[in-house]
Amino acid sequence: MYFFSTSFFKFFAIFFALHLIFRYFLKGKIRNILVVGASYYFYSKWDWRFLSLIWISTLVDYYIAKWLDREADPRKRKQFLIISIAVNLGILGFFKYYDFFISNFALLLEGFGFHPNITLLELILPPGISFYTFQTMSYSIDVYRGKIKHEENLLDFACYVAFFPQLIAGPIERAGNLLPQLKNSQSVSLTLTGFALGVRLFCWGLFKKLFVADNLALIADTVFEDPGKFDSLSLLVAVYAFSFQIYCDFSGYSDMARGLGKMMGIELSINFNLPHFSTSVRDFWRRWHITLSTWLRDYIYIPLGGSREGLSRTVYNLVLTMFLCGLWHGAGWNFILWGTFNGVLLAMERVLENHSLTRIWRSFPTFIRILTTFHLIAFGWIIFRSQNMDILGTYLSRLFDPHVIMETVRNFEISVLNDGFRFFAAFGFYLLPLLIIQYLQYRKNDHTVDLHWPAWVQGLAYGCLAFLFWLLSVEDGKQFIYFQF
Amino acid sequence: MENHSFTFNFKSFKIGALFFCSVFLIAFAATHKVIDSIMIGWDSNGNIGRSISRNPLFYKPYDVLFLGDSRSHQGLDPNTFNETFLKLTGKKITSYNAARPGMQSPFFYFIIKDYLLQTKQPPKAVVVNASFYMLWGSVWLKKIYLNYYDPKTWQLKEALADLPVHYTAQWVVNSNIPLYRYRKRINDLSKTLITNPKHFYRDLERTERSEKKFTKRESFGYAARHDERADEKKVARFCVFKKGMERDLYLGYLEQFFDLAQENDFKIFVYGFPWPEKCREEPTFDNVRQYYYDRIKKVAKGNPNIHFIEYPNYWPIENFADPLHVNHTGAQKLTREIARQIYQELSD
Repeated sequence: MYFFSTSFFKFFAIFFALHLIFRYFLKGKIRNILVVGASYYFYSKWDWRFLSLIWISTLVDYYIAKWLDREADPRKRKQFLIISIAVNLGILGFFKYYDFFISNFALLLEGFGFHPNITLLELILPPGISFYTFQTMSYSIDVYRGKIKHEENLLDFACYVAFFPQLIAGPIERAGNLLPQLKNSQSVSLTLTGFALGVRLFCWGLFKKLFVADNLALIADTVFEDPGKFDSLSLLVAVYAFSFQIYCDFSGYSDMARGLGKMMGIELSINFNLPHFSTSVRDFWRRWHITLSTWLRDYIYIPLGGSREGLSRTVYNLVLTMFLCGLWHGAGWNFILWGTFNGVLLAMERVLENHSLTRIWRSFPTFIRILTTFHLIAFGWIIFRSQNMDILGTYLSRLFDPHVIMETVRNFEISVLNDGFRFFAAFGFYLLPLLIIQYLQYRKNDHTVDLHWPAWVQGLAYGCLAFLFWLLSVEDGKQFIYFQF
Repeated sequence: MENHSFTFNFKSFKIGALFFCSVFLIAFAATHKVIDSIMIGWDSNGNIGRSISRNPLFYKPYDVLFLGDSRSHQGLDPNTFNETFLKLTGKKITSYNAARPGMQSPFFYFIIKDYLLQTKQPPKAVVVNASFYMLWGSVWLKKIYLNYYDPKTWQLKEALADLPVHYTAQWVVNSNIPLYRYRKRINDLSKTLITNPKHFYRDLERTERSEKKFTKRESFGYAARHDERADEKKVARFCVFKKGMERDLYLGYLEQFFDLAQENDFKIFVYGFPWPEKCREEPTFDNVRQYYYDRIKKVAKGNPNIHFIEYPNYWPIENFADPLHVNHTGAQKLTREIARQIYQELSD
């Protein structure tokens, strides 16, 4: 049940009507029964069998947090925490990484002349598993660290784990932010204004997903399928297309999730802050998938020592954290390589932080720094998107091969039949509305810049976007990319 | 990031919403004609619907009209019919092929009734094929006719009484709002343009060809399949049908269509479409074919204006363009056969 499907609209309409009734006529606790019930129903529409995993994760972390708060002995507290982490990572590892590690281990053994007889499980990845396990883990860790108190009410905690707008692909919410809102219905203001803002955000997410992302996917999918068939310009445009596809796909989902939350009076965390306007890789990771980046920072990078233990240790911590970030994205070498690549970039920035070159670099005009950062990040997306090393090799060799570049220049013509030109024109067309709006948001440093416009400008802008969306958004939306993580 | 310092003024929001709706409606209205004129010729399904409802050639007094789905559309040639009739009787006759792909009984009724209202002169006869497809499914009805056949007010009123409400709603909305109607087509075209421009051009050329075929004056609505030949190996899978697939809705419209003949004093000739000989080898095929033929006969029972044409139904593969449609040779053979069977009835 995708957010853009008719079945979801029906589901949400019924849910929201009941939500209003529950809120105004019944007590808050009952409201959470509805939210939990709706969330489990929503999840069961993906695959009801995996509901048991959510229940395991919920119960384990609920009771462990309870024991953590009661237990004074640090050794025992640590043991409880380890159990929580082991259960969550165990579930995650079993379903997501078992086949990957086993097959790679077997390959390694084959390198030493052994021929192990291995059995791959070929399990279906439970939807949202990477998101809710990280969410529940953060809860137990925060309770362990004494940052928050454990939640007494199992229903409220279950609501926090399974809250359906962000269950499948985040934002990865901290208990400190979401639980109080779910718990205390009086703190949640359900207003017409909030509802309207939620609808606005949801529609913007829908536009990003079905107009921008899924249309750009036509370019990226075509080229990444067989990069050997395309010229350098097509390969370059396809990388750009994928950069914006993955952004609009994921941030579109986050916007829709946040929009749904707002309609219900709940503020979910901002997950993307105009990442394509970043002036450095570090800046990019502060703006991209913010709830994961901060999770990795708080629960991996800082516990590893962060930047407190010298430059070489900082470099090591950065690369290791980003390596794990890559691994989180999927059980594949491309993801690991992509994460490590970003880690190396971050480490290089850190090493060169006080170098005179960096000072010169910072004096460059902002748009040059934005463009350079964009290209560095985009290079990483080639690794991320390539399904295997052969495709990656072909892609990179053709993208940078001087002969292919010269051939591209020689054969270029302004014609629909010229792949490079066609892809470039389509890319520009589908991206332009997003770029205009995000540029305005960037200039004012305000995601709600449109709300300050005069009414007639708003009407015109929304009308144009709605028109474009109606006419040219894809009819059969693709699965969200981050659902597979 | 998110600046909530603005004072959200609901009054201003309402003005904004009003503006939004106005702009949206203006955009719809402005693009209504533009989109329609651009998309004409870019949509083969549109060509089918329009080739009846917007075709002045059709709304002329003819002696004989052919009706049915693609099999009659590609199987009955008015020129051959007229020539055969002339040879047999020495008299001139006019005929027009109003059969179109995917046409089912509701549109037999709507089209013929509209023809009667517009021309004020009933034809002497309507020839219609008894195809299985005529009586079940709803894909063609929805995709072609409820999208592209421009309805008259009386047609919508009657549809509201007889068709499911959502069918009528679709007919009203899709046939009147090009932006809505063409959304899927525009979507498909833009997708193809990006991923496979050669296919895009081929698609447009094919659509253009079909447009010409539908509107070619001298063909009188007939779409020849020329000398195309069916592959005998592929025939068998087209000869598997089941009994009991007919929809009451379609049988009801068939009855109304038959009633028009009685009310307006013209004859309807129903013929079973020829099948490749290979189909006879399928154990249940002939039985199923007869079942549907009998269902139609049952609907026509007691109506003196309905006649059934009997002739050998299994033909050599050479007469077929594909397992379901005859080629031009087959069409000439079929048209002559029908002309021979009904000329006496028309000469009276």
